[in-house]
Amino acid sequence: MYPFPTSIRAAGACLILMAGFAQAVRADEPKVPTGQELAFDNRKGNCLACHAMPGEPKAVTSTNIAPPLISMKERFPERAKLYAQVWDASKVNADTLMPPFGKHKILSDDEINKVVDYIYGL
Amino acid sequence: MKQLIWILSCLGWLAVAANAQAAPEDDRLSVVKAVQKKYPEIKFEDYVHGALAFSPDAKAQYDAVMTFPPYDAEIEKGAKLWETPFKNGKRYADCFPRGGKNVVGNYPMFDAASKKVVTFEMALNQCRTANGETAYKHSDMNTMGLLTAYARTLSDGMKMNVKVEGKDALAAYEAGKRFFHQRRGQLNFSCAGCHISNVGNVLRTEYLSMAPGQATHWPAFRGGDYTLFTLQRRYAACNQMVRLAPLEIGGEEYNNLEYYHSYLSNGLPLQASVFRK
Amino acid sequence: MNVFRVAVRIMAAGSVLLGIAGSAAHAAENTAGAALTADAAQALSNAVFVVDLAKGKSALWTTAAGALAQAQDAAKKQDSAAVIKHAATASEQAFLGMAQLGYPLTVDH
Repeated sequence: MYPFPTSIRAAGACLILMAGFAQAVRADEPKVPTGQELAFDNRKGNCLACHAMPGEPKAVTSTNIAPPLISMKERFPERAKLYAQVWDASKVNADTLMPPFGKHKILSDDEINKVVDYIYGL
Repeated sequence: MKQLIWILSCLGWLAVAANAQAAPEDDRLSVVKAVQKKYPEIKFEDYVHGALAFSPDAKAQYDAVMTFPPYDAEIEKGAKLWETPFKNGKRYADCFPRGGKNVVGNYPMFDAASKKVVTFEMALNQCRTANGETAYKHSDMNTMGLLTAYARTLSDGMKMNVKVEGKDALAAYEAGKRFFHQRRGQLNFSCAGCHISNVGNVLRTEYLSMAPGQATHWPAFRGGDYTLFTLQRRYAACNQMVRLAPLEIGGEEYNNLEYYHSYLSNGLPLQASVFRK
Repeated sequence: MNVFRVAVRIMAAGSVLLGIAGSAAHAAENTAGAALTADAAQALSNAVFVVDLAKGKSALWTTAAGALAQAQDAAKKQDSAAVIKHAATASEQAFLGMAQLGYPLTVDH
């Protein structure tokens, strides 16, 4: 075995410390938003711009332009249809004002799933 | 027999000529009638108030600001620009009939020679260059913005009176109409989707204004800072809001759009340099 | 033996020089002049091309333009992974913007 000179040991210790530091930094990354947060965020779903949520006390909006989000399980017995509506509403109504959140990648598929899970409970 | 053929062909030509104007007028009437049907209580002349026509509170706030507009100093800067002679001694007033009074309602107009839409701001620039001055940038609110903020007030009260005559003018009008109905930006909105098909509905906290009347009240001094917006700056801002990178202010697309958009306001009175929130 | 060692050293030096020359050539391809990977440089130049195409058709989305700006910032910092990620978004959003030109016009109701 070769004897490790002091400089190499010091470099090794530095690398270990840096790796540890990087780990700590990674742990401080922002937490993943919930479906409700995505729905309310005006850079993401921004649902309240057009949809009232009569059953959700936190939802404050004056909009009347689109159907209110209530009794969603009754209105969409198939969850896949609700997913498709959020993904690209123009398939059902060519003149819809609803942005195609999936088709235009406004929301990722994972984000759409979270939002659908949230509104499916309204 | 010869007379009959002559009369019939004359009538035929009349029909063709009438048809050239009929399409834009049909469009305008259909859009206006849709608003009248949905909101019979709103008077036609009040379409110029747009979203304010749906909210007495907002209208009252507007009226209060308009009694002593805080941006009067800006309009005075514009007046100075208008009244200061060019290096050759001529003035803007020399370029327009009636010294510039009651001319804005005729714009945009279609110039058959250049085969292009000419907006009032382009006419102001044509006046500058014809008299040895450099043209202002249409997007510069400190030059063109202020100048037009005053110059347009000389036509306050004039009814919008845009003409679409001839097939080249019609093509420009149709290009503007197409722009108005085309989905744009990541959010996929068209102007018509909101301002023709959802008039009076509330998006977020704002009423959607009706398309007829929109083009009558520019520039506008907007919000708490009373920022000066020409109509085309507003087009750029709307495009940005739906996540489309804005097009050129003073460019052909916005000019054609303004041509169609202003035609929809025909018959409505102009008022420049108003407050909007 | 000695000849063999010298040959190995010459070859090693040669490949090091080739490596430097190679990455310099790639570096010349990107705007920052920094040392990005070949994939990153290619992704960036693709994105620039597609964004320009969309702009020329008046169909550029702010999301495409924004992602390209982020890719160019990442290129200045020599962050190849970030360049690839943002350039991919820029290209994707630019293509979607151009595809939108083919959507039907909205009908008045």
